Amino acid sequence: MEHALRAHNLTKRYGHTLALCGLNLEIPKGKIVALLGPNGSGKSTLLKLFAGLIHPTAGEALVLGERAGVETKSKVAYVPEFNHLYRWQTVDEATRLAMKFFSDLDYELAQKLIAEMQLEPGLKIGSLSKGMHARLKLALALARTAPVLLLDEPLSGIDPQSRRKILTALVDTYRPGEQTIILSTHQVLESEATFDQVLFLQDGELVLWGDADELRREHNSSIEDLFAKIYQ
Amino acid sequence: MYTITLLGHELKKRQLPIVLTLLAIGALYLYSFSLLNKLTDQAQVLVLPVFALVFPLVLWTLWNHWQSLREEWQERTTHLLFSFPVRGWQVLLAKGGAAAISFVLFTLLSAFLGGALVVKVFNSIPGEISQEELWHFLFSDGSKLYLQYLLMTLSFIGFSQLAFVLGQLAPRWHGIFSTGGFLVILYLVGKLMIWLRPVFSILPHVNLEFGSGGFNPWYTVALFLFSLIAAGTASWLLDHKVDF
Repeated sequence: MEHALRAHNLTKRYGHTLALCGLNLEIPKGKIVALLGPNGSGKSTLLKLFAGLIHPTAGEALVLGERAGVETKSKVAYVPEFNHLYRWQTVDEATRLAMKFFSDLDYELAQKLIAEMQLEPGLKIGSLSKGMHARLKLALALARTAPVLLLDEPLSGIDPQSRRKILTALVDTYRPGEQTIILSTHQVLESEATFDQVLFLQDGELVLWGDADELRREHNSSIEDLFAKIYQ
Repeated sequence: MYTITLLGHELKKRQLPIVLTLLAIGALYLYSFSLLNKLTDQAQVLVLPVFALVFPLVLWTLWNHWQSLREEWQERTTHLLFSFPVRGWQVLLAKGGAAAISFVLFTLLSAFLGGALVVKVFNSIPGEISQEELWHFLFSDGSKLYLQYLLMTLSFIGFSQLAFVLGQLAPRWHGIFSTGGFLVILYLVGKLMIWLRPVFSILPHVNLEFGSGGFNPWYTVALFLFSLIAAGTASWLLDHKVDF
């Protein structure tokens, strides 16, 4: 089986803090994978390593067989938890800027998604609420045909209406078999239905992972209940 | 291509301070010209120090460049910038290029208006130098000195880039480490210049047409070359060591 993402003995240390500890994992192509874990478990670090934004202390992070870095960035759509867009730009300027660097960004699809997310192209990014930011970041990522989509807490700290819009857009634009989505979240109940696979991280180590349906069957519980059991 | 896009983005981001600075320079010279009509011929010379305005512009340019880098980290837009398939040198070249373009705009406007002011003042004082000769000296000698000034500014931009990136490698107190790094770099470059002095002294000097003076351009040339090494090192660090 071809793998979208692979981690070999992946370790990341920030000063004295060990964020990831010799992680080994293989994520197959064309799946929606939930990355679950409490704060500080290493979720964001893992996503940033695959996005090529940070460098491993040891081991390697591979994206479609290539070491994560400049060469793999055009194959990855990365959405961080916080606002990373230029506050002085408008929604449309941010879309056009991204288009200049990502040839796979479909401007018309972006406009459609932005309208569906109830955002105006002329709105200044600095004036957007947290929910609007989250919807805009996701619209820009979903307007690309990048084979790998990394979403860091896209549902965190936003209103239920925005969360619903985000999950609907995610399901509607997802191309099963072609696109691999890694979604880190604490909102397990709302997003559980979208997961094909689940990774549970704790203190930088993988504590459990597998097919979502198999895990439900084996443990005779929902992923949300499993999440509660593991991290209680 | 990405470098040009980044450069355009950077200039757009900085357009307000650039336009405001150009307007401020223009307004200051307009005021100086208006003063000339109110002063006696001899007193008009007192207006000339406004020409020195060109010198603090290097500090203003460096400050703006530093702010541009700092804002990327502070506002976490580095996560967007470095999620693009671009290398560190492209980002630094675009940022340095935008700083250089703004500096050239500021200084050319300032030098041109300053030159016009000098010519107007000297024209009103009976002397041996004609208006044409004065413009000639200003242009020929001024362009040699300006090139030195430009190279020196570009060098400081390169050194500041390395200092800034070194500061980002520190676990905390990035600003202090960056400033300290900048001072250490300048100290080391100064030491190198002292060692290279015997070599520079045997190389040809540049003569000025006005009077019998001249200057040694090799210190500035060496400074610029060192700054290229510094900017290259900063680019490598961004690609291989700095986490965003």
